[in-house]
Amino acid sequence: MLASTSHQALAVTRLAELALPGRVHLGLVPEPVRRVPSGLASIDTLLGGGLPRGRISEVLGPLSSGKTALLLALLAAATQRGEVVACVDLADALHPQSVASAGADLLRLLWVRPRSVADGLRCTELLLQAGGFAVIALDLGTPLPRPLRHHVWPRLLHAAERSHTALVVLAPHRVAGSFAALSLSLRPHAARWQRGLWPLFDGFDTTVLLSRNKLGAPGRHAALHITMCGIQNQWKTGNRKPETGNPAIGKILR
Amino acid sequence: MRLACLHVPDFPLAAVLRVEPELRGEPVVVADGHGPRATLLAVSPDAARHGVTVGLTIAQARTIAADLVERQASPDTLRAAQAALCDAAVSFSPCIEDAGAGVVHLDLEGLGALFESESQLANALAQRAAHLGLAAHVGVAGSKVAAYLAARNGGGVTVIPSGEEWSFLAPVPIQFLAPSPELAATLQRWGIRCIGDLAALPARAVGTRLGPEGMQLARRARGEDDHPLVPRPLPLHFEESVDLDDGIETLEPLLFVLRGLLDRLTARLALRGFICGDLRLALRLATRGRDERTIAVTAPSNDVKSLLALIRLQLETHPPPAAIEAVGVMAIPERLRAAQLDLFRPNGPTPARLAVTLARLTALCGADRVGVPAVADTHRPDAYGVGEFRPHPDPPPFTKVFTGEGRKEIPSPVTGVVTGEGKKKIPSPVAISGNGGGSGWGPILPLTLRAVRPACAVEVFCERDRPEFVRGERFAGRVVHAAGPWRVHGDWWSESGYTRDYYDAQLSDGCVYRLFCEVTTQSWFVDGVYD
Repeated sequence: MLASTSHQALAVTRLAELALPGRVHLGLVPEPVRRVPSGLASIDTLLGGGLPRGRISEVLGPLSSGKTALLLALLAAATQRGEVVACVDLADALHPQSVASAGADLLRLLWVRPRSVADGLRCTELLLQAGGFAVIALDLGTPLPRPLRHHVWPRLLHAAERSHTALVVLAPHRVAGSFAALSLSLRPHAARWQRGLWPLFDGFDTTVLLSRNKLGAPGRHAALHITMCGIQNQWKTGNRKPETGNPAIGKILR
Repeated sequence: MRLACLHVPDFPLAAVLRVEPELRGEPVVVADGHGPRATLLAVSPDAARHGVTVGLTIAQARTIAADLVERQASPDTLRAAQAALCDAAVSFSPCIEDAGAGVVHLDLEGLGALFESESQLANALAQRAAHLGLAAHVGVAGSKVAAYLAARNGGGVTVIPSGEEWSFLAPVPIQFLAPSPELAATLQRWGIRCIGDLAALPARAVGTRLGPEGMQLARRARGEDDHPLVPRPLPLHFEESVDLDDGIETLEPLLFVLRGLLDRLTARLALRGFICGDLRLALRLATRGRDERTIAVTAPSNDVKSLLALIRLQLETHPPPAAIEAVGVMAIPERLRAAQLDLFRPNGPTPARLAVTLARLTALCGADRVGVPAVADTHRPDAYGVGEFRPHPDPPPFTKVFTGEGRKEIPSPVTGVVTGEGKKKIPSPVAISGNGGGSGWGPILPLTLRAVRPACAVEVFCERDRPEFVRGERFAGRVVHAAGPWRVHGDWWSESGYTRDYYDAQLSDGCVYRLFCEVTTQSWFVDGVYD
């Protein structure tokens, strides 16, 4: 150890004597982490520019916490930039209309619905090995399927590193352990309801906590406002006034 | 006019060695059929060294040399070798004439600007044929017959300068012109041994004594063609096949054979400037049946590894029912389309790797479970579709931008709701929420539904037609808040008609579910969770 230190000092001295231009680095210079912007300014600020490529990121939270909305926003932002993304949907829960209303280019989203956990992990690995995908989302569903062995994560991490793909895992709680570079925990607040003669579910607010971050400081949080708008409300609003001649459009009961 | 002739000596043997190059250096004989009485069509130099000659039967050859490697001249193999020879020729000139049995003539008009000399051109032709596994001799002369005789008699590459055909052809044995046995006997009796002897005879006298056949032979001896070179367009048919001695029952040996077939096929395609589109695999089974299948190649390419992976996946998914005795692969040729990559658009997956990955995913999950999500053209709330995944190079047709601390722009095609009063603008989410929206609450995201597939049956207890309690295998709890119902009905003209009352209900576990009640059966289901 001592010898290596003296060698380093000697090398620095020699290089200084040569008066070489530029900076002298000892050892390997860490590569800057490339990021996939989420398209949401506050989330990008929280993450330091977006989700890291070549790493595993976890989006954690119970149902009705907004984790799917956050994921779809991420996928939509990536497809709008012209990138290709994939979703391995173990829970078979992807709702194409929601994806479309999130603004994603559906033609750039590969949707894979494996039948078992083992198939899902294999599909994820295959997609990572194929390369070229900016984001691959692995939706494990709620509750978490079993068995989910720990030895898969180093394989997936290695494949993600080689393909420079951001692997995003959706789960109710942490699953990737120390192999995850960062974890976003979503904590929902009370759902909002419009009171009145015709009550409406209006959405909910949620807090995004950066509970784990190997690339920066954890513990920071941001707020998300998830609201029923646009296409989701369209059919409900439309049903309030019945149309004549179109049987597909419903009518109100009372 | 300058013509070249590509001639493959011992064509049946060359065709066999093209399929099985590992037999080079072995005493190989090629027979015209099966069994000991089959006649030898070609023998390799190693077999000839043992004293085996063309025309012997298999049984006779075996008595001379017991360790002979015996192969049959399959018509498919010969056809593929001839097609490969034509491909080599057509890669130089489009004016070629397929003379069959390992002979192809081509017109060299206009090629002088590409090569320094005719020798260089002839060497390039020979190398091109060798690239396709055929050891061809090349002759260049002013006529087809002279070029053929040069290729056949000269060996390797022979170029006869213009006007010197006579001096080259004169000493060539008359047998090279392939006279009929009777005519050959007559010429032998007259003491005519060389082409020059016949060419020196007066044409009228030859015609009087030997008839039309003798006249034709004399004309050829003088280096004159029977008919000029007739170029015919080469059909775009790329097929390679192989007969297997023993039936193959397992996948790995079959893939080994298929790799060789694909190697030869892609080499031919590349020479013609094509890439491999869909593949048609024909297997002749030991049960006398045939197994034919088409393998879709989503990303046409000449990458043998990718094509082999696609075939492997197809065979693994649907294995052939019996042992395989012959394999044939036909490629649908496609032109390579040059695509200009966008400097500002990130590269997606490589087409070849993507095709293999999609095939693997399809084999793993099923064809209907891999693709792009599609919004179904129906009002049925739980309907969805899956389309073919082909990442397109064009920008998205429309975009919705959620930027910064609020919703900046929504140039969506659906910007309003069609009601009885016409198009009505949807109020902004901020206005709906009345929660300070925008800067106070960070980004605004549209609410997302997680589908529950298939819809989960639950029991719902209602009070005054409003759900009060939900009980089910996966979802249960007291209803804290509920909104609805919204009646949706459609497809009433078909058996799949539906009439449903939809509710949004928040249960005591804090989650907000989408419930519906089938009006006809009064059964309740959960078909989604807001998340």
